[in-house]
Amino acid sequence: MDDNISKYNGRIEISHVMLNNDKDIKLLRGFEVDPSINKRYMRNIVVMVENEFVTSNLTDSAQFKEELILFSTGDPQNKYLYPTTRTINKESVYSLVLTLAEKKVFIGKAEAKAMVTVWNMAIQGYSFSRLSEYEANQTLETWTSALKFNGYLQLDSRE
Amino acid sequence: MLLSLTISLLIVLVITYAIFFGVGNKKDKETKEEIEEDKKDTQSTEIEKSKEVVLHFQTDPIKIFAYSSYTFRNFKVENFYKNVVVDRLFIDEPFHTTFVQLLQIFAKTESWIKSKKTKEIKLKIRVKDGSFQEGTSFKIYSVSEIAFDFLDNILKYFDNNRYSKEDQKNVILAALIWKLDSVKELKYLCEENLNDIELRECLAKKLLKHHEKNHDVFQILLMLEAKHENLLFVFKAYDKAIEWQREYPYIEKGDKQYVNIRLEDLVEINSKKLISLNAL
Repeated sequence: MDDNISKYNGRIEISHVMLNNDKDIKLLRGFEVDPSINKRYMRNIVVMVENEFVTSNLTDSAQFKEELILFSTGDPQNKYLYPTTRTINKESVYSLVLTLAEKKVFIGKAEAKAMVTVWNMAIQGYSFSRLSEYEANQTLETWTSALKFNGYLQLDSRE
Repeated sequence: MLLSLTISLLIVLVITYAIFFGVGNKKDKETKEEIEEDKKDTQSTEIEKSKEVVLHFQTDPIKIFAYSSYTFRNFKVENFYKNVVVDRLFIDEPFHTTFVQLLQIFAKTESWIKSKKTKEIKLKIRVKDGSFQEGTSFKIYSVSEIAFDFLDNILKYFDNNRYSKEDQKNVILAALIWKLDSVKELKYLCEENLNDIELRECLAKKLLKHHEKNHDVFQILLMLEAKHENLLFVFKAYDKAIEWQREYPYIEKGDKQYVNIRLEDLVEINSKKLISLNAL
C-alpha cells in the first residue's frame, strides 16, 4: 500500500453503507487497520452518488449531512443540495436537488431524514483520532490504488 | 619277437608318412595351380584402389549475423529474440530487422488499453492546500504486456502445428503490426482523423519499408482485417492474452503526453554483428 495513504504501514480498507438504494447514494468509509494492535481507525468519510464522488473529506461530508438535516430551512447558499420545487401528479413539492456530471438527483424529505439516521448508525463506535490528523494526505493516486485494492473498480460479474 | 614288432611298426610308420605327405603335396600343388589359373581368368591385372573419404568435422562455432543484447531493453524481449530468430533461424532479411524493430517498439511503449472488467469512478478530491483535483479512475492493461503474451501464444501455436517457415514469419509480423494501433507513441507518424483500418495500413507501410509492395505480409494483414477463418488462431491467441492480463489502477487527468518513438532510433540492418550461435 502506498505510504501516503497509511502512516502506520497499515492497510486501508474501504467499505460502504447505502444511504439510499434507489438513488444509489453511498457513504464510503475508509478504515486504517493497525496490524500491531488489531484496531480500525476511521480515516475518511465520503459521499458517493452512483460512480461519482460528491464530497471528499470530513468537513465537506459534515456540510452535506447538515444540508440534509436542514431540509426545509435550507436556502440557495447550500453547497451541494439546492432547494427546489417540482410537480409530481400536478402537485407542487419541495425537494433538494443534487447536480451530478450528467444527471440530477432529487431528494425528498423522508429520504433526507432516513439518510441522516443511517449515517449516524454507520459511524458509530469507531475511533476518529486519525481522521482529523491525516485526512489532508489524500491524492487522486492514493484514492485510485485504494479503490482498486478494495475492489471498487471491479465490474460486478452479475451485472 | 620285440625286434620283429619294432621293424613292423617302423614299416607301418614309413608307409603312412609316404601316403599322407607324399600324395598330399601333390594335391596341394594341383589346387594352387588351378586357383592361380582361375584368378588369371577372373581378375584384371590392375587392382583399383578405393577412393579416400575425408570427413571434416565442424569444430569452429557457427556464426550468424545477429543483434547484440544491448539492443534489447530487458530479458523478456531478449528471450523472444532468441526464441524466434536464433532457435528457429529466421535470420533472413527483411524479416529479421523488422521483427527486432517491432520488439523494440513494444518494449518502449507506455500505452495502455482500458480493461474490459472495470468500472469508472469520477473523483473530485480536496488536496492539502484546499484546492480540488479531478480525474477518472479505472483499471488498465499494459499494451506491451499484452503484445508479448500475444506473441508467446502465437509461437506456442506454431510449435504444435505445422506451418511453413515463410508463413510463420509473415504471420508473426502481421500480427504484431495489427496491434500497433494501440501504441500511442507512433500516432505522430500518420495523419490525424484516420479510422482504425487506415491507421493500421499507414503504420504497416512505414514499418515494412524493406518489404516489397506485393509481399505476403500485406496480404495477411488484409486477411486479419477481414477476420479470415484460416487465421482464427491469431484472434484466439489475442483473446487468451487479454483474458489473463494483469490490471493496473490508473487515474486519467487531462490528456497524457506521450514521448514519440522515432523510427530512426530503432536498429538498422547494417548494425548487426557476427556472433557465434553458442554465445547467444
